[in-house]
Amino acid sequence: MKTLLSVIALALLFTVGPSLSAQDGDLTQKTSLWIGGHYTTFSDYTKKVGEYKIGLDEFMPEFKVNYLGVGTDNIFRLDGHFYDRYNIDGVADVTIADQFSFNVQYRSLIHQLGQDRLEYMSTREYFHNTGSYGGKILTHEVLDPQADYNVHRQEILSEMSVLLSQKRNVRFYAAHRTILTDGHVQSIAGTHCFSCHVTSRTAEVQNNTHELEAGLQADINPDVTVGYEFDYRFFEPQAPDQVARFDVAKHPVHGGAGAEFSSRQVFDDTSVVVNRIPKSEKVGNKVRVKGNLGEKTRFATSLGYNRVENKYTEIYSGTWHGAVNLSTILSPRSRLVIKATGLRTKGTDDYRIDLPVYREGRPGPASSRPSFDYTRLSTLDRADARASAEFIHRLNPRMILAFLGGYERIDRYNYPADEDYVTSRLIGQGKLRYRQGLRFSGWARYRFEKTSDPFVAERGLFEARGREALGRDLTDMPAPWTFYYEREALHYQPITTSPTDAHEVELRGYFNPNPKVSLNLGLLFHYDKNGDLDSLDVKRTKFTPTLGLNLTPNPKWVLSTGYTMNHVTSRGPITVALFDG
Amino acid sequence: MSVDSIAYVKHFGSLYTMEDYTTTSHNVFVNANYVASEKVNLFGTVGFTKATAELDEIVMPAVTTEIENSLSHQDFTFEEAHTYSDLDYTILRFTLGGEYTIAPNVVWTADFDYADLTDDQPWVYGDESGSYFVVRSGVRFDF
Repeated sequence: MKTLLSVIALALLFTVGPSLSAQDGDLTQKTSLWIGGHYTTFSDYTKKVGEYKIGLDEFMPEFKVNYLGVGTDNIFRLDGHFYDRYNIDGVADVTIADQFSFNVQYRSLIHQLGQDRLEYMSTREYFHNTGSYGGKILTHEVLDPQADYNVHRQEILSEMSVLLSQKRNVRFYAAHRTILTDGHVQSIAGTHCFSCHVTSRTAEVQNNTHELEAGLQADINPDVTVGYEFDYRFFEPQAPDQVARFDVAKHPVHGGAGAEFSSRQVFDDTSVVVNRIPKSEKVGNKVRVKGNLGEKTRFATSLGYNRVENKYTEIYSGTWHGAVNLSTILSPRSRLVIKATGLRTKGTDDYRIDLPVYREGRPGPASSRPSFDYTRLSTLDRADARASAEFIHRLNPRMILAFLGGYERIDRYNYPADEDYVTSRLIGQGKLRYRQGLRFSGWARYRFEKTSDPFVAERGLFEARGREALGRDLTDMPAPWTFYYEREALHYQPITTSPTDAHEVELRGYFNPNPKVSLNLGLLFHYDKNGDLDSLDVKRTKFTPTLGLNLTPNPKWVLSTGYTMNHVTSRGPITVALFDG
Repeated sequence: MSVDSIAYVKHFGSLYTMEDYTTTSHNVFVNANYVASEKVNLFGTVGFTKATAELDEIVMPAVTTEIENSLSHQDFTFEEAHTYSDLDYTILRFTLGGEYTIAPNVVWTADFDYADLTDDQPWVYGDESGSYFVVRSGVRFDF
């Protein structure tokens, strides 16, 4: 692939460039070729400090090429950089007047990944009054501790545009992108007792993504342009499936009660494909209309439909989406910008989940062997509508004032369960820009968002306490501990990190006291909280000051310095379940 | 069957507390470019980044007498758990380089790049402290 691209790039350089020159004698060309090499040496752990380097002590040849040819009505550009066998960039593009443009880009990088040692997944129940250990154990096992994890990513993007007819400005455009990733990553799986035994192994990565976009647009009259666009995306993992071994179910300490344990597991003493990435396909169609409504108003609209499908399971979702943008001049000093978007997503109809019968073949009444089969409703089902209006007014030659108001609403149709869940949000923003010639410019902005019923995890974070909380008569049951699963019913307190109130202030200033000095200062402050979570005081503050200074004391020296700080505090709940052993 | 004769599952629920998680990063850099002569151009960069993260100590509220009596064999203090979330990275980076014009349209370049990362809170991936040094040289042709 790299060789092919190199040949294409050189062919373009030595054929298209001269051909442009031949077309027009008024051609300005500039070429730069750098040939050299580099030697890299590492000390200690390489994968953090050299996250995007090969990570080996070695000498590598290196070269760069830059070409720019500018004619009367055409431009040809070629830039390429070969750093090492994994870090390569290249772009070539040609534009001929307004009639034809084509560009191709190639990017390659390597990403080094560390290995999670899983040492934090190790604990065991302990009775401090007797000094003995209990049966609740969490263990980990890294099966491939010497593995070298990294992923090589390559991307090839090509785009073209052709003017088919000048009469109606009929234009065809198309783009294709390929993303190839290959390498090895860490794969983690938890075996039974829910996660009593966590294992890690090496998984091969080989993913191919192809994206195609093609469209046609034309002016149906001097004020209106219409267009149609087709999108296609295909993702396919080609690496062998990753398989994890699920242990033989048994008591974690004395190894007995195997049948009782295994009858409560989905997987037992078997190998199962884990961490599988689905092969997927997306097909989209969209129509666009844009133009002028009179002399003072411009508009742009679109309407489309996308369908995304998991090719392994045939689960799919379909989305209708549309957008309207309107910009109108209210007066010589005022402008109004209105934006609205909407979408409606519908997932696969009911999807049946079949699970083994709980405690199948074990003693006890039929009620102690319930079925946990269920029908999964798509949580993608939703309608999402957003609208905003921004009024922009020039107060005087130095100041511009803008106010923005917005409203957003999301209707989730199957969450929780088969109920509706509606989130709505009011947005307000004010912004003042100031410019004093070339010496000073800056702006100040304040924004707030008020959200009603932000998305929450309805399942509950805490468990109710009390000996009779379950309220289940266990008189004729084989053992009370077979009903541990019913603790799900005791969960309460929905939880979220989404705020109900958010406030943000941002200040920016750019000072140029003289041609030798430029200074920029910035400050961002963000505060949000959720007031809906009963006694939980979930909130977050963010504080980000920035400073930049550029100095050119004389033609020989150029100095620049900068400082950025980012300080974030998040408050959230931490909970532990209480067991009696 | 009377209510008193029914055997119920024991259940003690859960405890919770609110804690702050704080992340802070500082990044500062200085770049300099100096045209020493018509043939010599020098440049250099110094960069420093420090990033930390920490969770406040987890202090659970007192449990009720009923629960305390039943679970007297358990300990609900978490004096060390918050330290598992600590992160502390420091990255120091130096770059120094120059260009020398050998002949019209022919320039020799050389530069050095050094980066050192110190991990003062090794945990999930082990001690990630490490450094690299890159020396690079070549010739540029402009035409």
